[in-house]
Amino acid sequence: MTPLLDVQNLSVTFDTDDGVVQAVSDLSFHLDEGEILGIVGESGSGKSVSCLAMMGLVPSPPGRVQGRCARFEGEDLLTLSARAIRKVRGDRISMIFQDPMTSLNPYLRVSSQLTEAMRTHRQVSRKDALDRAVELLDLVHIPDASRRIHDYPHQFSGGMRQRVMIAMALMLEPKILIADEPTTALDVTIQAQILDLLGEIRQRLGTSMILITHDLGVVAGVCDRVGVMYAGRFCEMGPTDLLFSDPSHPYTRGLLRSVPRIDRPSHATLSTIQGNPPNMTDPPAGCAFHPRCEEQFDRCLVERPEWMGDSGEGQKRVACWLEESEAEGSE
Amino acid sequence: MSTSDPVKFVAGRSLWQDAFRRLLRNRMAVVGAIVTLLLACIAIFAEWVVPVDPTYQELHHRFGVPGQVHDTTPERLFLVEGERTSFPPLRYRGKGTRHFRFLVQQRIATGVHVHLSARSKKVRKIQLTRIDSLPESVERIEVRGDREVFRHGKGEEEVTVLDKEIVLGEKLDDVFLPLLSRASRGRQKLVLNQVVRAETNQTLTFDLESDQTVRGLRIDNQTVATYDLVGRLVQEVRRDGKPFQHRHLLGQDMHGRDLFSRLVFGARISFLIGVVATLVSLFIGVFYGAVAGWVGGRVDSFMMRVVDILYGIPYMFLVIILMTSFGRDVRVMFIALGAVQWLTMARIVRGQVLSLKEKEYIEAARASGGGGFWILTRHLIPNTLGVIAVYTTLTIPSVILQESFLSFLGLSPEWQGQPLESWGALTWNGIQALGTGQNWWLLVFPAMTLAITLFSMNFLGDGLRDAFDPQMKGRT
Amino acid sequence: MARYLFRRILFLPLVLLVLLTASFFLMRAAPGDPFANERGRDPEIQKNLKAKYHLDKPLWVQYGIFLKNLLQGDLGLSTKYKDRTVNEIVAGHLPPSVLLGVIALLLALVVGVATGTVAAVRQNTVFDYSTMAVAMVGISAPTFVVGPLLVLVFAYYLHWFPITGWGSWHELILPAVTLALPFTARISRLMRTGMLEIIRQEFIKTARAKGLTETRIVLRHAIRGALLPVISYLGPATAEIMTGSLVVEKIFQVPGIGYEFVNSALNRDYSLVLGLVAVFGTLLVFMNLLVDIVYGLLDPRIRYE
Repeated sequence: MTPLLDVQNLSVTFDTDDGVVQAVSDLSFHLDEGEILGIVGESGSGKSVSCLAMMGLVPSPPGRVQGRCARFEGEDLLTLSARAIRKVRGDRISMIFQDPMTSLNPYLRVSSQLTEAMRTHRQVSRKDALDRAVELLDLVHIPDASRRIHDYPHQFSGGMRQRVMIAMALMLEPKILIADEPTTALDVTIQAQILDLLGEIRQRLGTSMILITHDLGVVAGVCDRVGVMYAGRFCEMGPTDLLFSDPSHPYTRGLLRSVPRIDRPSHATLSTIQGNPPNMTDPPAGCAFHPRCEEQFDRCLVERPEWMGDSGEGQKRVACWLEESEAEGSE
Repeated sequence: MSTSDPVKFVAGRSLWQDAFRRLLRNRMAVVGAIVTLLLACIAIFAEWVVPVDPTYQELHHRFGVPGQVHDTTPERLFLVEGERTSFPPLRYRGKGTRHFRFLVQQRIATGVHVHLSARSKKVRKIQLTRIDSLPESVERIEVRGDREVFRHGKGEEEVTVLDKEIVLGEKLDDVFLPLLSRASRGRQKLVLNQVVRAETNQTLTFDLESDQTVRGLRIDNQTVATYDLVGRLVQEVRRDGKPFQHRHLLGQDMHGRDLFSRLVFGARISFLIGVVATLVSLFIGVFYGAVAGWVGGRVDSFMMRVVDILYGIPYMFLVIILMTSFGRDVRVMFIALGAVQWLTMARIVRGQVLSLKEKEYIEAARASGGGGFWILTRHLIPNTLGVIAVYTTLTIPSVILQESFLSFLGLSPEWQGQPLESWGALTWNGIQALGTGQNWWLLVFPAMTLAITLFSMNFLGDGLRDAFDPQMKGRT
Repeated sequence: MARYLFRRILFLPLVLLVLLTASFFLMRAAPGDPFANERGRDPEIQKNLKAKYHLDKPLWVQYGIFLKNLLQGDLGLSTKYKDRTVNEIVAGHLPPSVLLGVIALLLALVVGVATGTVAAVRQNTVFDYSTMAVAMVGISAPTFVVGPLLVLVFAYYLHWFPITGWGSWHELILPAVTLALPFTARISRLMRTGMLEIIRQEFIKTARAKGLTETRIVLRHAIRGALLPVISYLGPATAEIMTGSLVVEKIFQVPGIGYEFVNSALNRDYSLVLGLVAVFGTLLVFMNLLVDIVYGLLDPRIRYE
């Protein structure tokens, strides 16, 4: 089965005063029809930038995007003209962002913000677009949608705004919804509601999603597959349950240890990963994680690990030399 | 950043050093600083910079074109044997010794008897009839002066006399004395007061060393003595020499005054008012702001409310009223301009004091028993100094602008009854003297000088603000 | 919105009152009296004149009469031109000033907003740099430098416009441009800064993600927010335009109240000065109020406060 979205060897760099920042290096992943893919990583690990790059939203200059391809419905997103990719954005692929407080334009009514994508991409009347918008506000469970639609963003609560954002992204029934930290700025209870909503939408509309987050808890709830990013690369990727039950990469393990869990004694201290994320103008040689890795050995310092493990369906892959030595050891 | 790098120790830099480095990186600010410093030096050392006295009028060179070179002496030196004559500094800027030669003019009579023919309202003629003790060397006689008093049978009359060369025995043109008509009918004898000079064929010379400046001369039969700026004798030499020359770099105004010299002295006035009025505003603003910030609470909000209200007022109207009510004395202007500039300073100082008040070392000072006033003067004010310095440099150009604005409107400051003509006044004079546009230099040079000064100071001020207060960068 | 406007309505007349009170007492504090130098040195005439202008009464009474008449719209008699009321003078000279001011303001708004927006959208291009350089010149160069230079070039040398005068649109251009230039420059800078701030906001990213064109993003999503600082600047700008009009009307000999104000101040025509200050102040207050209303309309967060 050909995946819905197939990204190969995507790289993004930024020219800054301090040098070239290698934000994303050689990133490859795919997204299947109806799948929810989680991308996890610390801030600055390149998870958002990779999606923005795919959508042609990395400002250039200073940004530069390279890659073999990002194939989507027979087109290569990376080589599309600015005009052509604009037609994809908001129509077949749409995005929602982290902070619903700032992601909605405070000066425009929600109604016009909801309908403008539709009126841009399709020939529809104002009335029809408005009806569709009310329908979607109902879908995302905004009470009294037909009245509230004429309000301004500041008249909604944070959670409600994120619902509006989701409704806005779904106006044209996109194939893919990219949700960039959709719950980070929300209260915990609201977070759960929004995640439930995303799951419900996948059920009802069959939308594929890429869920970008730094919160493993978010991933665990809704994602089918998870990729863990560090310093612009994936270090581990696989089905969610497999990755959570048997994390292979020391970074993944570190991340999992730093999440509070209900099945551990409450007095057990949470561990943290030592050190800071690498300076991306001058990333460490070898494995980018080695300066912070407790299990590093000589090879990690000089040679970068490639994907290891089975690439087949339902399998987990990891980019760590430990995996290889384990494999050798068990042979 | 790899871990194998040795740990680097970076020497700590103070806030001021850091700010200074940032300032040097801003090229426009550096250029602005250089120009501003240069102008300040010119303003301070105006007497040494100008080629001629800014008040000296070369009446037969009205509206002299920029770049003209004039001999200094034949027109300007009016020498009487045995008396010392002062004139603006003349400087020889070459190397070695230079030989100067003067044509000597002498006052030959204090009174000249003139026949005035005025039969009707129109026709006037003047005839020089007698000149006392005219030396043989005299070749021509010149009548000059702006307004001279003529005495005749029916009292005095003030007359405008144009510069005019007259040859002995010749009649003057009709245009010569237009105002004499009413008072004088028939032929009358008038006494022309002190306006006749004779140009002799005598010359005088003296040598000047490199960079010597001469401001006074005294001649007698055989020698000429030169004096420096403060009246000390430089040298005494034999008569016979070449003339001094000076170039009217930027042209001459309607009275034949050198525009460049006037601009240089205008700089002094503009800078003086800029700095003094800013100091006045600094005093008020710092005091007001520090008190508001320090006392805090209701007093603070009331005081700041007052500032808000005052911000809404168009100040120049009040300043104009103030200056028409209390006169144009330059001291009134210092206070008037200073009193309208303190608002921003007060706000900034208050903000600084509020944020500093919470800091630990203030707590420490308080804990160790320092009183309110002591803390204010010893801790708060010194720590707000950087920001205050920055906003002070930003205030100076706006004060200069306002002073020029007032001068332009005709409200030049005065000192002991004499108008102090700053760049604004020169610009307005330039507009008035524009003619049909041919006297462009009288407008263009003062206007451009003012504009360039304001640019430089604004660039410098912006640069300083960015350097000292990086968070403010790009906000305004 | 109502509460917000109410606060402003209370605040603005206070500014006017401070301005008038200060002007009144400054004028009265001047040594000498306005009729001292006149021909009628006869004490009887002096006395009558003083009585006519209420100068024989205590200062506070004079102040009270001044305020009372002002509230009734009566600005009194000119002390210089004794047969003319200040109201007549204002009525004759106000229209040119208002016309000039409004045209200058509109010019500054249109040109400033357009150039500022384009400079922000094309940040760090030649257009951006040159616009900002010109704006720096416009802000630093005073009106009384720019105006005469414009006259020299466009009237004396190129003969495109008349040198001075008032009446036709042709004569309006140079004074309006001169008056507008510093405000155009400042609005352009404000607009650029505001625009740069807005286009870095998340909601612009949202708009881009919707597939809107850049033009549409700027015109529909960004411009409102970026306009707000410009709108709030229009309040102080009005005060500055009034100040600038003093000079511009003098340079171009426009028969407006700015020119009249300077003359009346130089002539020490007390009641005319005070009357004109009152007119300027009232205009200022109304303009500020208008600005507040427009601001409120543009920013829904204030409108629904």
